Amino acid sequence: VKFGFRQSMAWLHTWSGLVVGWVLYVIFLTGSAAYFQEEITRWMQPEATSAPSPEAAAQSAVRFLQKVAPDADSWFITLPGRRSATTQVFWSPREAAPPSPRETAAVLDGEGREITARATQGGFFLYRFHFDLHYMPVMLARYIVGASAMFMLTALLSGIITHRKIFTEFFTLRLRKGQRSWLDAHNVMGVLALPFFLMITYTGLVTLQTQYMPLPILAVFEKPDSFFAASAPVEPVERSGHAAALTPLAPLFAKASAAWNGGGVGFLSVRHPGDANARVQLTRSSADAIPSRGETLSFDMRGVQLPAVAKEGGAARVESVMIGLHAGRYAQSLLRWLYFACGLMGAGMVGAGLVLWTVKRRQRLSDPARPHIGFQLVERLNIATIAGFPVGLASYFLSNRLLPLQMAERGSWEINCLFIAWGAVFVWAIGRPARAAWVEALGAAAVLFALVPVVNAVTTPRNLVVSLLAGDTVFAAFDLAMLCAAALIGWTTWKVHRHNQKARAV
Amino acid sequence: MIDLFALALSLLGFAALSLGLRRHQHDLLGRTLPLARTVAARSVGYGAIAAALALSVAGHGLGYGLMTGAGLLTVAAVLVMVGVTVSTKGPARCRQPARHSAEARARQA
Repeated sequence: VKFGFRQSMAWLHTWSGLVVGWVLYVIFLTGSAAYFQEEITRWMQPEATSAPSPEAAAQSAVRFLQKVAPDADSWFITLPGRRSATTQVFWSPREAAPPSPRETAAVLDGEGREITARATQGGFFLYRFHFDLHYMPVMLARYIVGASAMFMLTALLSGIITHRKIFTEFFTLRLRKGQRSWLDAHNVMGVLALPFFLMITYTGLVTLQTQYMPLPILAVFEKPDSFFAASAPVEPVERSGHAAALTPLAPLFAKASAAWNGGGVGFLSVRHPGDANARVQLTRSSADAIPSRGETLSFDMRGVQLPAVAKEGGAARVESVMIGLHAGRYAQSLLRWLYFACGLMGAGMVGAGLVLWTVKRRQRLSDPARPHIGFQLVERLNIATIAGFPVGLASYFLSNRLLPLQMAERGSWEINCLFIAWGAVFVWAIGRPARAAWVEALGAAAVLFALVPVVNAVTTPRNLVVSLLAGDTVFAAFDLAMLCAAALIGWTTWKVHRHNQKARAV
Repeated sequence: MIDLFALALSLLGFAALSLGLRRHQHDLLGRTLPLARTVAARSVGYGAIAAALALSVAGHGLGYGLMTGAGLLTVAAVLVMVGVTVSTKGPARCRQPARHSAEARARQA
């Protein structure tokens, strides 16, 4: 059979989309959630309430580190921005230091006290899952995600060519017409958010380009590490051996603010703390501007500003902007919600495409009562992923409120709960008739999402009414988002149920 | 405020563009508009969309404005799509009743 150009593009679109559709659906959902990772973390750490200024937080974090890790090689402090309530500190011990039983990282509140009440990975887990997946080596996961993104780009471009009526049917969604409706839904979501999909897929590949395309680096450098060392050089400075107190931070923050037109500090690191040769580096908050790598300022022990070691080149600047566009850390409230909505449309487009694959082939089955194994596999994976992953997500939030506070490995168990619930839906989808499994799995997701605000109200004093009255937008918006998810999925469940009844009645 | 204006302009733009498409003229008005009107609708549509983007850029700067403007355009396009879908007249929805029930039967079997 000889294929025309458009037909071969349609073939490419169908199969490149199917192969990675389930991974892409989950990547889109977790990626959308990751735009609110700080807010999700705040909801998952209800004990942390203060939102201090970055400067005060930096000072209390330094006091904490002077107590806990006075002779570390370096301190790294991620300061709270407008959206988070906690300070994250991390320190690297000196090479000669004896191994310590203590973890070298901590989460602090505004006063510099370690938060230990409720161990959780919070929204950070969803962010990491978006490209590192889970239960597997990070590098392998990134190859899987990268390959999926490459297929996504292929599917986008071949989809544009395949979709003949991209302009004449720009706003067309024909309802209640079976296969036609699924195709329309897939097309309309794909077309209306197309600029976002092209941007997000391409820039997503750029974020890990040095892993996906290592050869250009290896052609010039001996090993990848020497490339990274050359592209981000560090001033060579050793410990002097003379003790010295840390320079006051307030003047450094003032200098940074002046240098960056009022921009804030997002990250602070101290090399050789406690030594006369210590170096303090301030990095501009990524909430300030689109490029993901903020400008930095370095100071010595007396608070004197040091000249920059290297200047960012044009290519690095382009990469920084692309990664910034992808991660959206610069986005304020409205733009953040727009990112989120477009991400959900991505999940919707991929989901509709996956369902379309089965709807289209169901009519051509020789024996619809006993479909072939490939069809069954796709159908069951669709249920397990499209309905199952939301079940897992709701279970993740619920487990954050329900697991015992002092449980060992609590943070990991929250994540395990996500996968246990998701796996349960997978088993359920295999064991039940497909139509029934759709309704039951979607129904379970709707009920679980609706339970999140209820369980929150029972287990913490920060229920929806209190949050609304107190003007606590993070908690109120989170609870309301859960209710919206429940309503949307519940409505879908009802539609599928009605459809099943009608199909049975005809 | 700027964002609200930009969203309103985007809505106007896409609504006009939808009226510039033959299929949606049928869906919304039940008839086809004369060529001059169609061209006018399309011009208004493209003009309003360009104005919406320009407004976002003027309000937020080039990079941030383009991102916000593009996002608002997508939201506006979705709203117009929902509007077109809801107001599409009955006959267009079940133009092929025979095929529809054949599908249902095939699925039930």
